[in-house]
Amino acid sequence: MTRHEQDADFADFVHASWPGLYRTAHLLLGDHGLAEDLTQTALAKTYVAWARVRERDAAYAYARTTLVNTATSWFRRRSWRNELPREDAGLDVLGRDPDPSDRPAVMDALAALPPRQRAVVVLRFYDDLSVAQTADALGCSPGTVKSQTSVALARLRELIGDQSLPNGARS
Amino acid sequence: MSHQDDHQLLTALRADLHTHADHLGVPVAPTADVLGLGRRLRRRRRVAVGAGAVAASVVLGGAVILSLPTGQQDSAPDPASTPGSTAVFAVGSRVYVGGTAVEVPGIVHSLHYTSDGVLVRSNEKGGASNGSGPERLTLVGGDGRSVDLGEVPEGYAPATDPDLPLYALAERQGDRLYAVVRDAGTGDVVQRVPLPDLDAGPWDVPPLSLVGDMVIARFADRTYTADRTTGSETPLVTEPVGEVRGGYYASTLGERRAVRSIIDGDAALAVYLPEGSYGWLDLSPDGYHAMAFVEELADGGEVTETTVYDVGTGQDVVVEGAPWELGWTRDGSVYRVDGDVVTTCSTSTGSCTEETVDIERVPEPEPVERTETTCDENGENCGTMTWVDDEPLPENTVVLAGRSYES
Repeated sequence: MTRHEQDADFADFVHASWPGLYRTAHLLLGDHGLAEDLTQTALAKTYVAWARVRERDAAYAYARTTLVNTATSWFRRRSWRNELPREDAGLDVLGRDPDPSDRPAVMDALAALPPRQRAVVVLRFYDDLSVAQTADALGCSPGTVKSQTSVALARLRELIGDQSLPNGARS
Repeated sequence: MSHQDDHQLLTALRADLHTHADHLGVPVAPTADVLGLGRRLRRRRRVAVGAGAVAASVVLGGAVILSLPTGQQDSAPDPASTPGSTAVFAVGSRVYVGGTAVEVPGIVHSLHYTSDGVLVRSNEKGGASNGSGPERLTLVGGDGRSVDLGEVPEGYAPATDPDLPLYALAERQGDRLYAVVRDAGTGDVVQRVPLPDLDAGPWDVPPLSLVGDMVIARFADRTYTADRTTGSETPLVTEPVGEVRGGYYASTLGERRAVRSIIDGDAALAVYLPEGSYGWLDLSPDGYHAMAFVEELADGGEVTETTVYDVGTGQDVVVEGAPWELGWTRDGSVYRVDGDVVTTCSTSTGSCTEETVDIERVPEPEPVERTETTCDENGENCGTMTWVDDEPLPENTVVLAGRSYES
């Protein structure tokens, strides 16, 4: 395959994968601009490996893992800890890009989680990854994913309360 | 919490995550930008040398002239020991300055010229620019001496002016943001310039430029300029959008690429890149020269040569090598490292000289074929991806000096 054919092939992949990756990025970061930057960076890193990829079936999973790893790297930065989810900062974070269709209770509560817990929740309950796949994506043990999930759900329960649950979720 | 409560919460959570995601306004995929960024990442990796023997000597014009000194720690370099025309580069943890190789901690990430020597940023994560963790600054001179200047957080690029014995870092102290100017020979704080605490975009702190008495901070929506000697703001007629070097910055308007003065915004140099190509102008550390950083030609052909312009006169020379293979010397010549041969070219005449340097490298492992299989939550819809892991080792990657870094 020539370089131009490879680039065309990759461009097709970008078009196909962009919406899904962008949505995951937005759930992780809660900001349109940052989500766009993160998705672009993850796809650019995937491009570096593209010429060596022989089976394209799992390319999306590769790109999503790259996206999560990149986000994890961003989380480690000091200002991220200062800027992103704290209990009192969550509303502000998601409030940058108001969307009338949002259900604020769950999304605001999600924004109040620490970044790693938020990533666990998004990967497990939006991207429907298994514990093992989530552990792979985050570079931690399955036990850590389980404990982070447990803590995150408990925290969400505290923050949301029964009144905020959507009708369809109430017994 | 009961099992039923858990179920309710998870149902609500899944529903809200999907509702939120489904209603997001997804921007159009910036395919060209992704490809451009990907190519830059790939080329950064491609500038690597293969496995070789341990260095023992420097060869100039085919004759062995001296053994590589290993450098002395914590002894201030002699500023005169690094001539402006010296090609400075790093491979792994070794910084090559003329006939000297100096070891620094970790793997080199970036090299920045000061009048006192070369400021080296290195880290323990293979010289990574993303996920590097704290990084270490070291001043290295051509006399083999070096000074440890301590750690900086990840993403904090030092700003230097090649004519000043200083470097600047954007730092937070309490709730305030400052451009902290330090002595490159000691790390002592020389000036502390208050900056507005504006949105720095994707960066933790705004990228800085240091130009004479000016310190320039590039925020997401504006550029702030201050006189570092007084700390007061000195608004410019025009707001540069990229790194400022020697009072100039590179700009793009349609197909036109220009180098503009920060004083009046006037274009000192305007060029059109080859039709259909993709690229920009990259300024030398002193701002007096600019290379046409053509990443891609219209016909998809390989980029094998680079045009370098004199910003003042507009005269140009063409040198062999793609722009991503070229580093800047402190005085605005360009060089490339090809195996053990360092070729330095005058940007005034285009004439080149070659120097052979034995560069210490570690053996590269054989390429390994790797396979990764992923499935959905139910263990179905599995996909397998196979690739050949032949990335060069960070220890063998060449880092060129004089490049721009935003973080």
